[in-house]
Amino acid sequence: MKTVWLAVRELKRKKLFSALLFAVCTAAMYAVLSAVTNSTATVYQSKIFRENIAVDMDRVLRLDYHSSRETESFAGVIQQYLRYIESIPGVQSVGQFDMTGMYFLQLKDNEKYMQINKPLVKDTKYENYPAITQLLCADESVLGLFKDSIGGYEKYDDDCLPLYAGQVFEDILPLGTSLTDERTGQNYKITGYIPRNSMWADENDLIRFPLISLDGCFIAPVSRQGRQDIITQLSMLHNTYIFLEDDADVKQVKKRLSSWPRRHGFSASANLLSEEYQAYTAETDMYTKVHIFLALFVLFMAEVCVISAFMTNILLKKKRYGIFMANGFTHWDMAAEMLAEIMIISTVSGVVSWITKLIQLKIGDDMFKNILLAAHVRFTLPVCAGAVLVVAVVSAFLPSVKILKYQPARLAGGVNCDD
Amino acid sequence: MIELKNICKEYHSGGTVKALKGISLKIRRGEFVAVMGASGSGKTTLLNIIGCMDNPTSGSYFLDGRQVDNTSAGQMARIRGKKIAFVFQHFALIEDYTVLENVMIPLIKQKISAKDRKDRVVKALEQVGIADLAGKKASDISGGQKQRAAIARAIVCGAEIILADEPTGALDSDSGRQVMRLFQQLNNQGKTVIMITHDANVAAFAHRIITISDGRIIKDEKN
Repeated sequence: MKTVWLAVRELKRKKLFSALLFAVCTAAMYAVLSAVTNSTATVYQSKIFRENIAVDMDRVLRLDYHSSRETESFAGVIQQYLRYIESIPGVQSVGQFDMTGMYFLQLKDNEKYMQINKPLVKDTKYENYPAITQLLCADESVLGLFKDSIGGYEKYDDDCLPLYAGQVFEDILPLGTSLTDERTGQNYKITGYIPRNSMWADENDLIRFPLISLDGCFIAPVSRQGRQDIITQLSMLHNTYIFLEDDADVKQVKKRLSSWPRRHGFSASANLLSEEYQAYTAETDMYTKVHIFLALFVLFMAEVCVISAFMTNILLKKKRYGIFMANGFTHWDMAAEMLAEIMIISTVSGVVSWITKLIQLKIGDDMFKNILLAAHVRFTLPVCAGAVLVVAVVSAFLPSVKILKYQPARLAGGVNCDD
Repeated sequence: MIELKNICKEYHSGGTVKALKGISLKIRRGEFVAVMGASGSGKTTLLNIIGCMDNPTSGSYFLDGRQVDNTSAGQMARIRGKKIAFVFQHFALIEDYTVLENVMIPLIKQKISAKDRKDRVVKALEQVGIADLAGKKASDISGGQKQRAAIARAIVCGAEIILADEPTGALDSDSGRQVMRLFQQLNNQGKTVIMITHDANVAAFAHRIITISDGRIIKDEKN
């Protein structure tokens, strides 16, 4: 305790020295923490994806669609293509999904609905539209892509589609409630609820983008109008999944999937989810390595800076050490005081950097905000503590060795010490 | 109390320098001893060995009957903290500490309350007549006042032996006399004072004068 007290006094005494070292350490720590947060976020993203995916990634192909013709008649071509895919030997089923924001006539001015929905759309692109409904239009075959989603649809006809609501709406939307799409006039009837904490893929990328919660969403089959609308069709084409039989010849299926579009004036290909996942992990591995290397380099430079500063500092403090040693302090007391000084500087800079990064993530509107925040809190905090310890111990080593070699008889007395 | 038997000290830097060549002496509790000699005669080396700041190359050193030569640095520090206090020619004060903070240094390691610590410092400052300077920075007081502060630091932890290395060397004659009177007072209170000087007027305050030349005692006489 006395050592810490002495160290604090020394740091307060040398304000400029302490401030400069604090600035160097904070900048280095911030670089390290940012690299760790970003790197662990990608690892965390992979982990969440692996934990939630409910299919064998070697048995599911994702269609990669390259060119489009935005004509109404092309919607028909897409429907033909989907039917063709279903007929390819080895294909079990094909399914698509599309996440959209729409309005139900009955909910547009419903205060209770908006009250529940407002916090759910907070921090999303629909933040200013509390009356909106986030509708996941999905074919039955893709409903099993992720764990805990609804299993399938009840039998239905196209005039009135079954609608599954998030459980948060259970009280205001009991089973059997009829709702109408404001734009298309399509009718829906509430036939079930989505289990809490269900997750779904971001429509832009299944693997690279964070999964989204279905808690405030609705799920329904794709409507007849949706199948005929070219914009909806093109959007869904990017989220087309082909589920294969166990004994399917993946190469052959892929070949057929790309040859049919060529004959019909557009191009498409398909990759297994496992291949896409592998490509993602390869990308993130490289990203992580580069970031960690840069962070370690910055940390190394900061170490060099702190070591140099303290080496100079202990030379300047020789007389002080002599005075303390003449008054009963040991070499170890002096080395411990210096270690405490470094420890205080590195701890404060670690805490400041961590909190700064946390605030930056919280106020930012990064698409990966939640993933980054989770990574920052779960993984970066222990790394931050470790970095503080490493900075302190490594920085203190050389100056400590120097202090331990000091001869107290030659320090305090001044000019006539060597008499 | 202090017994040195055939103490030798060699320094090895470039060549071998024999600073002490077989010093033997006994100093009893409560003595006031002046050690005299020319520059480079080995006075400070002897003081450093007596003060447990340095180990002899050979010979034995007994302090209160306990052999203390060649003990560990930690044990030597503990002995210094308990029994020995130093007063240096150039005061050895930390310039940007206040007088109070400087005098408090020997008490930092002791397990006493902050209030007791402050009380003891104030008492020591009163004893040397500079209680009113407690809040002043060491850099802002005169040489004589600095040496009084250094003496206050020497007595604050109740050390029995006070080792002074040219305590008046950096002072004018008036301040020097006042400082020597303080040493006399401390000696009268039972403290053992061992002082290095090459000034005969200063040595005249001591009861015993030891003269060293070329690392050997050449004279040891009562005053």
